[in-house]
Amino acid sequence: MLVNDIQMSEITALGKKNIIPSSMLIEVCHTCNENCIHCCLDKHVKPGLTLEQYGTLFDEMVKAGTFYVILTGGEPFTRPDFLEIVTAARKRRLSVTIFTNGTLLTESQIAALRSLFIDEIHVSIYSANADIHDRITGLRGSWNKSTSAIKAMLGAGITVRIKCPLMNMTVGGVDEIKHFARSLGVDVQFSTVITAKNDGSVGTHRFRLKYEQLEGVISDPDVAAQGTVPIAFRENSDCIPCDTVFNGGAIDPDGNVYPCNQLQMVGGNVLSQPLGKIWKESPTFNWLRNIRLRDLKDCGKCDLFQHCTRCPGLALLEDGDVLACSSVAKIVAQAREKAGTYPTMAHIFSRPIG
Amino acid sequence: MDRYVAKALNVSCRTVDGTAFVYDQKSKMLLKLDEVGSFIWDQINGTRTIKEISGICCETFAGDTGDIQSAVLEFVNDLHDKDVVGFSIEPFEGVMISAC
Repeated sequence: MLVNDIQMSEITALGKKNIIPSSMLIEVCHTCNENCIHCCLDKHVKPGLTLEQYGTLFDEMVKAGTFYVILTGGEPFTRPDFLEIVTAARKRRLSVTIFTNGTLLTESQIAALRSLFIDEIHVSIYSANADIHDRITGLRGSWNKSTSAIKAMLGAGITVRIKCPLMNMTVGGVDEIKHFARSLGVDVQFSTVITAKNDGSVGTHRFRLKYEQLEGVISDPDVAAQGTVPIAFRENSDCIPCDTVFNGGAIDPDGNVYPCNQLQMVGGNVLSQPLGKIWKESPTFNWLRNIRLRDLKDCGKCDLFQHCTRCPGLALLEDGDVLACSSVAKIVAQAREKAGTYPTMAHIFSRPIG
Repeated sequence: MDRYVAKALNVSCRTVDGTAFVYDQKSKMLLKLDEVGSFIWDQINGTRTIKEISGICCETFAGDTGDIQSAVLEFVNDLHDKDVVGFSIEPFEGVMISAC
C-alpha cells in the first residue's frame, strides 16, 4: 500500500499533467518594515485578506489539490495575525514555506513556527557587510536582526535558506556571502536579475549587474545553476515555454490570482470565485496554457536559444509583450553563451508538455 | 486495533485523483500511497480507531475479513514506524483531528 519515497517533482509533474495548482505563492500583505531599494512592489500599503478569508482560501486549495504554499509579503510578519494564517494553512496539511526578512521575529514566534513544522524559511540577506545590507533595506540594524533571526531559527531546528539577489554594488561580495552562509550551515540562493517594479517602472534597473559583472558570476555554480549541454527543445514547436499556470500560481493581497507573481495577468479573484474554478476555467489562464514555442515571436530562430532562461512575466513587464523576447533574459543568455554554459532542465524555457 | 490513529503534526499531505502524497516535514521524506493505502489514509482523522478503519475497509473492498484487518494493521503500523501517524487510547483533539 506504500509506494515508497518519491521526489517532490512527481507532484509538480502530476499538477502539470492535470492542471492542478500544486504550488501557490500567497502575498499575505504588501506592508513592509523595510524599504529596499530594489523592491519590485511599487507601494507597500495592501494589508491582505482577513484571517477568515485565508481559511476559506486554504479550504479551496485543498479541494483544488494544492500541496505546497509559499507565504510572503511585503513582510508577512508585519501582520499581527500572521502566525494564525500559518496555523490555518498547516491545519489543512499544506506544506508551508515562508519568505521573510526575519527582523520582526520574536523567540516565541520562532518556537511556534518550530511546532508548526514549517518546511523552510527563506531570509533575504543582501551582503555579508552589515552597512551595505542596511543601506539596501533602508533600515538601520536590519542585518543584525535578520542574521540573529537566522541563527535563532537554526537553533530551533528550522530549515533556513538565505536569498540574495545580486546587485552591482554587492556582487563583489559574493564569496563573503557564500562564506557567511557556510559558517551558518545554510544554503544561499543567488539571483542575477533585479526586475522592474510591478507597475512597470524601471528605476530598479540601475541596481542591476553590469554586463561585465554578470559575465564574472554566470559560470559560478553557486550563483547560477549550470548545465553543460544544450537541452532546450527547439525542434519541437509544440513545446511549452513556461510551466507556470499549469501547476503553480500566485495570489496577491487583494485575492487576485496570477499564473506567477512575476506574470501580471489576472485570472480571477478568490473573493468572488473558488480557486479551482479560476484555475481551470479562466480564459486568460487557458490562453496562456495554449502558448507554444512556435507562438513566440523571436525565440525559434534566436542563436541564444539554448542559453536562455526566458521568463514570460519579464517579457510582458519589461518588454510589453508576453510573447516577445525578454531583453534581460537575452543579456543573461549572451553571458552564458560567452561562458559556454547552459541552463539546467529546471531552468530551460522550452520543454515538452508531458 | 482499539487505538485511535491520527495524522502526525509533522505531516503535509494531499490526495489527488485517489492517490495520497504524504510528506514528513521532519525527515523531508515524501511517500506515495497506492489506491488502498490512499483510501486508508483518508480515513485517518484522529477520531477513528484502527478497528473502525478496518471495518470501513471490509465494507469497501472485497476479500477475507481477517486478511483485510491484518493488512490494515500492518499498513498503519508501517505509517507509525515512519512517524507520519500517531496512536492514542483516547480520541485525538484539536489540530490532530484532520480530514485533509
